[in-house]
Amino acid sequence: MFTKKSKSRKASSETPSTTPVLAMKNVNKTYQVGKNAIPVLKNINLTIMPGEFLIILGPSGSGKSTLLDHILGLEQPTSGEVWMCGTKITGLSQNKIAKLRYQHFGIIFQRPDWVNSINVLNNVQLPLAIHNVNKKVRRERAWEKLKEVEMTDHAQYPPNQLSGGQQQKVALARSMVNDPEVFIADEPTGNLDSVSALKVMEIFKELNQERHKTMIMVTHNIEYVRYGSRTIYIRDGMIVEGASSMLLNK
Amino acid sequence: MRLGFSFYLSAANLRQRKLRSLLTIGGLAVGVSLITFLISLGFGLQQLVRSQVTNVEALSVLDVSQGASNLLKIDDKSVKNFQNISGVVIVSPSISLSGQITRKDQTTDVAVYGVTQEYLDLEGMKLVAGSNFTNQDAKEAIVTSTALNLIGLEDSPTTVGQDVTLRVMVPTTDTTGTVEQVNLVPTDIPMKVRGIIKDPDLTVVYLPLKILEDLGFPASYTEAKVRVGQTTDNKQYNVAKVKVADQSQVPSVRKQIEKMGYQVSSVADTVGQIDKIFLIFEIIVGGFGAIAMFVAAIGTLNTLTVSLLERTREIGLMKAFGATSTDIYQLFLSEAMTMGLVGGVVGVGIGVGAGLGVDAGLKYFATRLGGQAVSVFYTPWQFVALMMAMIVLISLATGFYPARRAATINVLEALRNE
Repeated sequence: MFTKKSKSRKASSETPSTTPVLAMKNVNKTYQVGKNAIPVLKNINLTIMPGEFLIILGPSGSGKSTLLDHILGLEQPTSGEVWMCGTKITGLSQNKIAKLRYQHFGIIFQRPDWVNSINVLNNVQLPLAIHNVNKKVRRERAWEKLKEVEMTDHAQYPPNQLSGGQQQKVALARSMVNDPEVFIADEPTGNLDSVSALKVMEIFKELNQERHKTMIMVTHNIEYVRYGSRTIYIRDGMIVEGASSMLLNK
Repeated sequence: MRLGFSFYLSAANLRQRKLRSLLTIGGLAVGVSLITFLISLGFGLQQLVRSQVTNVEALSVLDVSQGASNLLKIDDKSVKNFQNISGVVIVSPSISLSGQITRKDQTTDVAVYGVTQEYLDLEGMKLVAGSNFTNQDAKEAIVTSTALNLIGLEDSPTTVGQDVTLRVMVPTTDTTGTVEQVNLVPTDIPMKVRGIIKDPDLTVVYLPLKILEDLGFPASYTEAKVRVGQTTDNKQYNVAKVKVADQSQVPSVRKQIEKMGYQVSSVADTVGQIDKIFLIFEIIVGGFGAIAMFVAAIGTLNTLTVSLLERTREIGLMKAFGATSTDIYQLFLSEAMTMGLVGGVVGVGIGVGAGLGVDAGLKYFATRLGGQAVSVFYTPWQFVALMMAMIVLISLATGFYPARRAATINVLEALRNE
């Protein structure tokens, strides 16, 4: 999928550091609905090291997405600590977390969202534009990433006119544009047909194995377990110990 | 996020929703054009009335008279006193009396003014035919059209050079023993019509001041005109333009002359009244425009609020990518400003254009019907600048509420919004 040029990325990303890209310590999340307290995450302890391909598996309503929101710093835990690439993000302001997120993470949502008034190329540039990257540089980088996902032919299209698979490829290009160490994908194949889903998973595999990027992917599809280097299983807001090896043996 | 990128996104968003943007900007443009048109009409009428009343030069001229006092006289000594006041450039006295003008067998009563050429200049007299006095010894008269018509002469260039006779009552002192008596002796002065002033009401004859003084009128004048300017520079007429700026000195000079007991009036008094009346007019018409503007501003607020609701996921996305609350504020305020600026420029353009159009039409009809072509619309650049500043401020104010809502929106809620 990637061009030869794109395979040789910066040296730093090829030598994984020993600092966890993510660490969660005794994280609990409880939502208050009226007088009822509903626990969604229960005592989560999780460390993700650079270069891992972590699959977060679990049924609907198990707390996968809430866990991901905590990893991204979009949600603050009721108790416990979350560390993002060596920085404790619990209690940090949203603006500071947003900056860290931009520096370290590339995000792929289940349903790609777009700024519909601008074309594909400008949408791919969006994270860079938000962080004041020079117009020429961001344009070049956006084009480069579109080339890597073979979507340059659609650069001038409005994003919502693309098929689901094409949109997910563009979303991938957008997540790569800031050259992150970690890719976080929330059910990235959820809305795709099997062929498109396979293509997306192959790209993830290449990113992990050839560029040594850390991948964190939330899914409820057991088939994708084979892509990961580690799988955790979430049920009722808890990581179920031993479930991953059981799944792998299936 | 850079401001340029915010404006780029705003423009892209407005382009995407063309009809809605067009209607919102159109509403703003209507409000702005209405205000521009009406206020320009106010300014135009004000300027027209002011130009009919006086010229700019006259605004720095004070008319000094004896007033009700019989003890005070404006004589050479008082003229010198006036000249010594800081800021005074020229003092030009005059003598006024009543008399009669005759040509052949036709006679009419006239007001006679013995004046200098400077006096006529300060008065802002405009001759419709003929020219100014040759010199102060020349027996020449500048006569109003009404006076000429009453003695059978037309107010046309053919009248210039015609002979007329002016009869004035000359005071002569008859001393018998210790009793001194002043008698008024009728004296005829043969004169030539030198210039004509258009005046539909007054019968006035101006003649050189020196002629009256030579006949025996004392150098005690009924009225003097005082011009205020820079005393350090005595090249008075070379600095005529500066004198307009020195209008600020008029009140202090006026105060000092009034302190001496004289009565002072100025065209500026009348102009001040005119300005006050037009200010009220402009406020009223501006108020009507402001109502239209208010409605347009509500439209902008509505458009931005709808835009916010439609773009909630976009906002969530941008925040997830690291956009700060300031970035979101900037995004919405730049959209409001873009609408305001476009609406403002288009509105001012339409307002000024409509004014010019109406002006051109009025001039055309006025000329065709034999009237004078005048401008009734005037748009000062300061007003345009103020208008643009106001529209930007109004836009920012209307954009503030949706911007605040967008900036405080929760990322997760925004991303889950359907």
